[in-house]
Amino acid sequence: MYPGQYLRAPHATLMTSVAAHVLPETSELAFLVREHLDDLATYSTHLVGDPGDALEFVAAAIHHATRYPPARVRADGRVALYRAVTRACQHQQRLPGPRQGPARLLRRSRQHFAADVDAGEATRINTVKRALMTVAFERRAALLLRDMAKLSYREMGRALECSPEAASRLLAGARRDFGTVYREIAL
Amino acid sequence: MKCSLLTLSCYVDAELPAPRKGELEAHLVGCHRCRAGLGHLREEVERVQGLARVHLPETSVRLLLEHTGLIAAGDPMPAVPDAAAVAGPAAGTPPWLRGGTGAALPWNSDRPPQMPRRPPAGAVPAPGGLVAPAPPPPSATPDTFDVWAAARVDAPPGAEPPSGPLPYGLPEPPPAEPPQSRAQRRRARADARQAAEAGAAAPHAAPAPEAGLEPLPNDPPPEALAPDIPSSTSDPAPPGHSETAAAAVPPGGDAVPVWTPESSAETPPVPRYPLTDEDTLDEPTTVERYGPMPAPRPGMVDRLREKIALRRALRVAALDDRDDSIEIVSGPGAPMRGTRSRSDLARRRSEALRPATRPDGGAWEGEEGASARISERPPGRREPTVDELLAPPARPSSLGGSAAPPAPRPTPPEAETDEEWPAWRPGAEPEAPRRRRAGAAAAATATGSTAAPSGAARTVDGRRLTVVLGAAILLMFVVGVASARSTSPLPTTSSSGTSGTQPPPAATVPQHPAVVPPAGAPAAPVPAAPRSSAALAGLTGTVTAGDGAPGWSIQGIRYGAHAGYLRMVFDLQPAAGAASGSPRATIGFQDPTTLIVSFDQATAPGAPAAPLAGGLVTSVSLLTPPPSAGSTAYVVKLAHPVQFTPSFASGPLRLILDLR
Repeated sequence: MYPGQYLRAPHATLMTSVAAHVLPETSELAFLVREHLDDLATYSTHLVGDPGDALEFVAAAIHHATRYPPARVRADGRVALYRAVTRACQHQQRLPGPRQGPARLLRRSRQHFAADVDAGEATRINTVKRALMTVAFERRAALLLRDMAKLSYREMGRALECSPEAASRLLAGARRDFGTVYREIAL
Repeated sequence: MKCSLLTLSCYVDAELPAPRKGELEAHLVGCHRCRAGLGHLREEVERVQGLARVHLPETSVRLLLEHTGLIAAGDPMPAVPDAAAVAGPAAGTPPWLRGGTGAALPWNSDRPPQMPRRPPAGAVPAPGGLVAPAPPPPSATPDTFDVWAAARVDAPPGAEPPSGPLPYGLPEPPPAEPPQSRAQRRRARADARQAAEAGAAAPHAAPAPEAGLEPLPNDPPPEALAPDIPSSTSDPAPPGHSETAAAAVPPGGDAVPVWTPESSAETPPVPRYPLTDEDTLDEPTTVERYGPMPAPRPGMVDRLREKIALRRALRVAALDDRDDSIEIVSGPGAPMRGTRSRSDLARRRSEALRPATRPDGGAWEGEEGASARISERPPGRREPTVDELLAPPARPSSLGGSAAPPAPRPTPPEAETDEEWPAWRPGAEPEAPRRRRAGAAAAATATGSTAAPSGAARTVDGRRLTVVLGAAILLMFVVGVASARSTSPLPTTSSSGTSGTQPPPAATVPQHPAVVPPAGAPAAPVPAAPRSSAALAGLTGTVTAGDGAPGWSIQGIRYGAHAGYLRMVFDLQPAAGAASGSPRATIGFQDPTTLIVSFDQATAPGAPAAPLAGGLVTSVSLLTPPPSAGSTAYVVKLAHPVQFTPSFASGPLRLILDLR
């Protein structure tokens, strides 16, 4: 038995535990993050509009998740990650936090995270992105959570910290705004 | 049922309950508006789903996990779980993706002895779909990768590593070509060139299916694909194609199911990256940023400069008496140097560039006269001219030599009494902290100046005040230095009697003067042996009695305690048999509790008698050395400051000193 076995196929017993010396929760979270990292980065990128900032927010969200891990990683760990990323993007949380006082002068430059973005899609769907950025943050988050992350209304409610009904209303409003702006821009 | 976007959205997301779904579908039959809206919603869903996907390279993933504390430095990366393996293989999943050990997999013990080789990189598969497909999607083979990697690691050093397709879609390194001679390489290039020319001549030629392979039902016949081209059976097959086609069937003859697009049509593999084939690009490009580019973070010097500028602006605003009193001290609009501000330059530039007359034929604002300009422009927004800045209205020198009469309360300027100007508030003038402007305002009022106070004039006044203060401080310093040089040095401590050059002003009091000790005299430390001549010179409250007759001797001192005072009696006798008159006695305070009694031309045969215990006089001693030759002085120590009254009494002669 090893942490994260639920994510593995039953016959994949040759896989060694990569974090046997780490707490089980941490290793489970590591597996979970590793699995959904690209999706989280994609979601964050389209939510904030900048890949560099998006990765910083994702890192801050994962850092927050490591400090306050979800109670049920297996059940709602993915939703918890999306929720943390949404909050980090909304509050512009970065990793590490900005230092205050003279410590800012002694701050070492950290290596930035890099991401490969699908170039063709990135350049071709510019109109969609422009229209998307005109939508309010919560509505944009609802739209991306549903259409990109494939979350259900219940999961969207957890990620957006609202009820499923409110999430559905947010999504319907987001689609209406997005469609209106897109049709105006596309013309 | 009413038309509802929310219901349509839920319907698109398949989140609508079954009864509502049925109602909506029934509604859609007759409502073309909802049908159009439903179509729009589906289009929007597709658009959002078609947004670019972000993929993090392994280095960034490791960096992120290390920074977030999920893994330590040097730990192996957590493997990507296989979603297909977790969910279970679907019915149409190829055998190498079903989770079991397929017959064609390299780690299967039952696999054929020779595995088919993969087509070389760049080989174009046959359109018929009979060739072995491209490597499976990356998300479908993590488990096989693990086992494959373990097999490679566990293999003995001399053993040949297992061959086969690499999982994760990793490109297989090109096989090491045996060394060829130059002639062989030239021949190979010629063959390749011929093959390329043949391919260019028949770009749509479909190679004939190999013997033993059955074409798929939907494959068009070769004649339909290339009717004007001779049969492709006679054409040489592209290099690698025959190998690829032959590799579809293992030599062992086992019927290994071959993956075809039709077989996976039911459950298409989940595309991960890139999203579609047509958008495949090798090199990722940067993503365009949305909105304006963020400004770079200002440096520490810039932030400090801005803070100082803001503080200055707020201070000036607090000192200003105008309502909209914000003076820009930095950035656009701030004064650059002295009285030439950016706003002044901008005004000059606008005046230089504007036409002679306005479009409506009227004159410009500045050309109608000063009174009209003042009446039209609000006082708070009026820009001071250079002349006003250079020549402030309130200068004492401009009063023609006559001092301005003191004005207890400044009256409003005449310009402010105009109706178009805002009402002058008499209470606001003294309340505002305008100490710098008080004198100037009073002078301006006295001279009847109509110049409104401006921020620039205030700045000039402030600078002038600073200059005046600096000059005053400098003058005080110079005066202090000069006075220190002109001051006489301290009196020397020598007792050579040179201090007699400036004898103390001793007032000759006839009789019974009441001398008060120095009230504010500093409590100087009492010297152990008071200086004789210097002590007499420095006495305070000195009283002189007697006519200065010589030849007297002090026989003794008597004390008499009376009600309210203490009487000291100095008994005198002629030293040489006969003496007349009385000796000169000088009494004075060396300090408030030390009394010096000196007799000129008088001698003392012995030490004085001890005073009364617990009395006013604590001790009496002779002053040594005496103030002058032939004189005698006593040092009388007092318990507290007293007043004394000296007098001479005759028959026999004695000096009576009443201390009270």
